[in-house]
Amino acid sequence: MLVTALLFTAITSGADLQRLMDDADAAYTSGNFPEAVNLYSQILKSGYTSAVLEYNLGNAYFKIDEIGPAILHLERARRLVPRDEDISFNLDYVKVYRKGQLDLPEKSALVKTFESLRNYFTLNELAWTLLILWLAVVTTSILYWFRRGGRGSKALLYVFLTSSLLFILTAGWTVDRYRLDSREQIVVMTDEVQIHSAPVETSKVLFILREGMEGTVRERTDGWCEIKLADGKTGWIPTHAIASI
Amino acid sequence: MGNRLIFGLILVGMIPGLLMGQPDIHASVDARRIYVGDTFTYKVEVKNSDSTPTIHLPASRKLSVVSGPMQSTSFSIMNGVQSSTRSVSYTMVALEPGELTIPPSEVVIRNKRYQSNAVQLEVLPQPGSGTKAAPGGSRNDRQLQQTQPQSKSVPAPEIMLRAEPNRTDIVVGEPVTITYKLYTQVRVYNYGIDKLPDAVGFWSEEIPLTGQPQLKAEIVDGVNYQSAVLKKVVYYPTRPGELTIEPLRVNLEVQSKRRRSRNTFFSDPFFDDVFSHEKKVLFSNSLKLKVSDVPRPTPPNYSGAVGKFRLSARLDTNTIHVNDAVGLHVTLEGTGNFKTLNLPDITLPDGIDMFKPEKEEKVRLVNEVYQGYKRMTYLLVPRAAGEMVIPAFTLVYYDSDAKKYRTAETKRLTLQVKPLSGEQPLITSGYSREEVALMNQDLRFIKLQGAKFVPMGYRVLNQWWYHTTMMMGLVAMLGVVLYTRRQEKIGSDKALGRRLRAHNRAQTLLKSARKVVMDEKQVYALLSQAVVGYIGDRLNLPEKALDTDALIHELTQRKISEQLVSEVRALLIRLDMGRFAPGADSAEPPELIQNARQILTRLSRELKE
Repeated sequence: MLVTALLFTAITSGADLQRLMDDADAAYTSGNFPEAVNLYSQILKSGYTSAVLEYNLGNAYFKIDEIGPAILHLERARRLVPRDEDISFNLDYVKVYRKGQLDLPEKSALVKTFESLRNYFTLNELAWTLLILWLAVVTTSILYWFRRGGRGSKALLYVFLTSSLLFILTAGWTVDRYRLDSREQIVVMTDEVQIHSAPVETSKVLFILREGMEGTVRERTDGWCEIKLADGKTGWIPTHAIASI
Repeated sequence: MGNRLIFGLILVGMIPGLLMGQPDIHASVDARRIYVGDTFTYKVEVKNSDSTPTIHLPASRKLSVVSGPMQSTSFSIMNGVQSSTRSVSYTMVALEPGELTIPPSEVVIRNKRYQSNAVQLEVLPQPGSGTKAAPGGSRNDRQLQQTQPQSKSVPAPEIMLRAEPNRTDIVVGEPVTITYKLYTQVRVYNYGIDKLPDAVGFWSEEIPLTGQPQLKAEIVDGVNYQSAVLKKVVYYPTRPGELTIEPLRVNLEVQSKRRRSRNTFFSDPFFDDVFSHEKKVLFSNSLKLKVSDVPRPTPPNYSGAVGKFRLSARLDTNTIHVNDAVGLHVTLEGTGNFKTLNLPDITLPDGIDMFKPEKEEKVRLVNEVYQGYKRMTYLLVPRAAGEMVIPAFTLVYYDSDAKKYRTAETKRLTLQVKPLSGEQPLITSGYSREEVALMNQDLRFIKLQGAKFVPMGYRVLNQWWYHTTMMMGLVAMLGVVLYTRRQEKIGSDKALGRRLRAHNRAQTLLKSARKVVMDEKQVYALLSQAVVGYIGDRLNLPEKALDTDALIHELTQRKISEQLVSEVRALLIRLDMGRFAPGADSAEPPELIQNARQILTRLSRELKE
């Protein structure tokens, strides 16, 4: 891992990355999707990433019928820029082509709105907002303290109270986002994989997952991972069959 | 508690490092003489650095990094001087015999670049193998070895790894199989391969080998070897040009013959196992493959497929009713670069709805090429009656054996659609309405601009400055509260207030005296005000008690040297004289101001004690 990092320190400058990116885009545009996959993956080895890069790589993988990696990279792109319509669209589009689908109850409009709002900002955006609000709280509180009863102190008080309220809300939101981001999400990368009841090859097979299906990691042991699916099912999956988002 | 103490010690230990400018950087190796293929440790030590250095290793063809970097930090106190040493070490392997100089490494500490020293090593050829190097690096060309038998004076290596391609003239999309073969004269107990070598521009797939590698006796350049195939990989080039497949690295555990030059001190005929195990890292040669492009110009709708293909199309039934569903199967069979090609697009006459195709793929490596089929099953639903013609599908591909382009084509299919009959069949495509709506669209195109690169996993929340800024805000708020509390206390405690303000008030008066230095009378008045006011404020005397005698009396009550008291008294008298009888004093105003300032300074010092 570190050795490859060393090998690729040479291409960490932005211009180099952009040049590789242009080559990869050209390969994609001309329809040479395997080559595009090759080149995009090359950029990722530099240790740098970008929503556009993950998105393009996801698309390229879909074009060569690799649903698992396609979903993996599109999900990563969405994590970086959750509000991008193209990313969400392609992700939904690609997911339709999974061979297996979970039986999920239809979500109500209210739940959908709540979820899209919850995922509206990235953790970094929330952290920045939190910092700015905190500075606003500090400044207004100091100004107000000095101007108590003076001219404009009422306005200052309102600004202080509003920013404090926003600060508390954002803090809560940031904690929520942090916890969501800290959960390890996985995508199934092999065509078909059996989910066991215990981290042992001989244990009972509970169900089967197909390439591109997602889950959340609950526990890890040597070579196995306990995952939970969106429909609530849990089971142990060999780690070679999955990749973390 | 103990932890905190240690932490404190560490902090103290870091202080000298923080103060030092140029860190002490030293690079070293753990052995001066080694054999080709042996591992050694290369270590860069930085003394008294407060942050972990980043090492950029120099590029060298003569060595390769096996593992690392490993970081460690040690603190020591010697003769009462604390010092810290941070070291970064790598395990390396020497690839060629001869003098080996490891060029200076670049060491980055806190964005500053330093150079380490160069290190010299002597690399001896493999014992028992003369001067010939273990195969490694691109120097070792396979053809060269085969066409030019080695002279007797250069014995062959006792163990080597070769990458052997099954062909050399390749066209884009044509497979090449590389066989990684181990040739050995010693026993190999164990081997491990971490990963396939980097091969930019290839689509690679390993051919699974069944069972343990079989040993075969083989003669290479007149030398007897046991050979075994360790790995077989099929590479499909995805672009033309000269492409490189990096060397494959194999970790081996081999039987080693006893060496004379090493460990003579501890060698003991009874304990020194004649057939001891030895760990070894072996590299294959890297391969440069010339991949030629498909002949130009390519036919207009060339699909990129290379190999031999057959295309067929079939309908489930030829007669159906309107709104009924029928399956259309398009199958591409053959051998070639299946993994990287797509089936031709379908164009349908108006009046037929098409649903998401079901893809089926069975492609296996057979005789080192991809062989199998890709099938798409489209669900067609005619919406109008009549005879529908589904046009032929074509796939233009390059036949690499015949070296020309060919076209695989299907037959035209006709579908008789009968008008609606009494009963309306239900379409059960198994997808929700939203999904069907999605399927009728297409994947959105990639974004060609706006790639903003960020380090992977970068989190603002994990940055030190983030928390520092947050803490600073808190400190600022607390500071303001404490400050105003003090101000309030000053406001309510008159004596304290006067005492704290005394200095500032006197300074202001002195300053204005300096401004009106031409007006003597004014200067005397201001200076008198300053000195009298200062003493009054510091001692919290009532305003009306501020005549010279009262002041001097008050001053004598305090612990103030008599000399200073008399000087104050002299100054006050002079100031009074000057105010009421101008011209009586010969002193120039600037001198007087200076005098007054000195006395005030001394007063403040003595009153404090």
